[in-house]
Amino acid sequence: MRKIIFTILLSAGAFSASAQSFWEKGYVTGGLESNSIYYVEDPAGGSVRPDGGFGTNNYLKIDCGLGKFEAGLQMEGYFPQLLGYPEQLKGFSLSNRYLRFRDKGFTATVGDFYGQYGSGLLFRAYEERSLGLNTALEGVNLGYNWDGKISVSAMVGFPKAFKEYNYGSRIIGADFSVNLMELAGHGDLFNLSLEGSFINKHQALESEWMEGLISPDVNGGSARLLFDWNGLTLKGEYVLRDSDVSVYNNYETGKSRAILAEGTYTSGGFGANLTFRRILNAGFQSDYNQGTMFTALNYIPALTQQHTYSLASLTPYQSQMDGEVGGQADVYYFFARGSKLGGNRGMRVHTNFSTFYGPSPMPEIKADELYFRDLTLDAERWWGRHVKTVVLYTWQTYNNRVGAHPSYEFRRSHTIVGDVTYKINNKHAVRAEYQHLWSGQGDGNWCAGTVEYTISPGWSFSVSDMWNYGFTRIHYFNGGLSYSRSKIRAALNFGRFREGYQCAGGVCRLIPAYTGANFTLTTSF
Amino acid sequence: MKRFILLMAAMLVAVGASAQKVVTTVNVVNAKGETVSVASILPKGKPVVLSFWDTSCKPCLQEMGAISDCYFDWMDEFDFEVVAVSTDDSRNSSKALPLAKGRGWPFVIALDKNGDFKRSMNVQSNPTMFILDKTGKVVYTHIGYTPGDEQAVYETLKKL
Repeated sequence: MRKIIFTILLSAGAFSASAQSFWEKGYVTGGLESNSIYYVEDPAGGSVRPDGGFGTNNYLKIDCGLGKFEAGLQMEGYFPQLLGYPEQLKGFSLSNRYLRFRDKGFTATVGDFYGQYGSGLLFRAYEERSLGLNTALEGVNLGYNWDGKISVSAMVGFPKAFKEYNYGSRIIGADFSVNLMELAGHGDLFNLSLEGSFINKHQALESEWMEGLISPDVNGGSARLLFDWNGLTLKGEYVLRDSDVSVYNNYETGKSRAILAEGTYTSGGFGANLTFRRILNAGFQSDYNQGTMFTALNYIPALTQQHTYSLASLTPYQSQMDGEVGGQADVYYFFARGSKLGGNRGMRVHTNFSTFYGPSPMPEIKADELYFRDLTLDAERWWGRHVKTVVLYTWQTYNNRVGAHPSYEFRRSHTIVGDVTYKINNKHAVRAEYQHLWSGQGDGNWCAGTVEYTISPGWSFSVSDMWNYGFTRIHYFNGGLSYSRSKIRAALNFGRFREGYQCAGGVCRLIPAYTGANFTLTTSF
Repeated sequence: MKRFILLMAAMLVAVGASAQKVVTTVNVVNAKGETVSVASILPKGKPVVLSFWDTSCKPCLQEMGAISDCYFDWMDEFDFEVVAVSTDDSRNSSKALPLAKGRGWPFVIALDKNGDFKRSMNVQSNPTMFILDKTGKVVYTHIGYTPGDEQAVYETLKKL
């Protein structure tokens, strides 16, 4: 039956696409993403080869609109799911379908929807395919925006748990935002907004023993303040919520609290931001029987530098839901084109410092324990019209007690990166990258190198190796090619991948080590 | 496996269709932190380069940097605007504007914190770039970036 629906929908989409009269009044749009891996046996590095040796995650999304109405659906197929994705995702599912009406600031959605209150500390429903994560709600979501002056929304829905919706748990929420200066007619002077949200989770208790220990209702609220004037932005958010008492938080009953303060300033070629956050008992699940990111109702990302070079991101920090305090600061500066330091195209420099602490595991020690610290410096500059360089240095201290394999050991590392691009002409370019990590703990020292050759528009070929010469002496080689043309991108990679966290946004998922060929295809229409 | 092949076939059907539109009723956050409709951030009456990027995407920073390097030279030849939509969620969204200013990008910056605009445009991965003509119609789409791709952007804008 599902196959029939699937085929009909595709046919309808294709037919609509060719129907000129429809295009004049409405639209059909969509996207398809497929990520497949063929796993091979490899005794080195603890590689895992799942049964069948193959995994493929696929997503087809179709949306259409006509006048003030929009409708859409998303189909997902895990045949089976890739290594590291939860078993519950396996198979086919019609994961999202919705009907929406929009008119004069009013929006009504019936079906499956996403949403976020404030920064997500209180509530966030979202999709992140690279993690197999989709926490949409199924229900009704109503919103009204009065010319940017006042915005209100309310929702009721059932949360998604892996690929099914959990009708045993019901979420009610409301959110408002008032732009005081716009309301007073002085929005051109500065921006001052007051915002607030409320959330309720109701889930009937399954057993008598839970009564008195777990409450069927969890209520919470947040208050937010936003000020913006002449490049200076200040934001504050405070969240207070009942504890989501469950196994995953060790039946902690104390209130959940969070405070977030952010400040940014920009002027000319200068930009800076400073963030502070403190959380306590912050976990919030749509089902008290669960305790995973796949059923989370809020979003508590790690507020640290998100590195893109492989050795700099060997041990990414993850937020500690039990409690943590810390923050980060970034400074960006652009040395202008034509200046002594900037050269013909300018020079970009950046630094980040982040640090987080948590309660010590030993009661006799009152001081907070360092969880993570990172100091990063990077600079990018063109030398003439053909050569561009990027240099990066990062000094990280990582507390393994909050890692994938907890131990009472700190891992301190220094990493340098040199990245050179030589643009041969308007079509051809070659990029070489070298990384080196020094550490006296864990696996010790690493080095890594990449060479990439690109032909514009669209072709890219690369080979790389990441070598742990400090302890395991394993090489993680990789080769790949990709091609992009208009709305299609295809990529093929083959290599050995170490066990590690795959992160998207501020959430990470542990991926086992594997060796294999990865084929990715994405398109939109 | 049959379903996988079916999906691949669906992709070919999908690619055959075209004429994508920008859903301008979706909300984003502007540089002042205000929640506004996409329609209010898209310049009217001139071509627009609409690029989806994020602060932790290396090809995105390369692409935006390349467009930034050419921006004033191109402006001498024709009028256009670049709207750079950051899809960073609350982990990095507060960095998007300082980063853009601190890299010298002379672009309109918008934040799509929970991916509503990205979903409405069916953007699968960053960077994805659209070029809209003076009427707002999508005339060019490209996923990914390789050095030199800005030449195709230049040639497309020059025709509009």
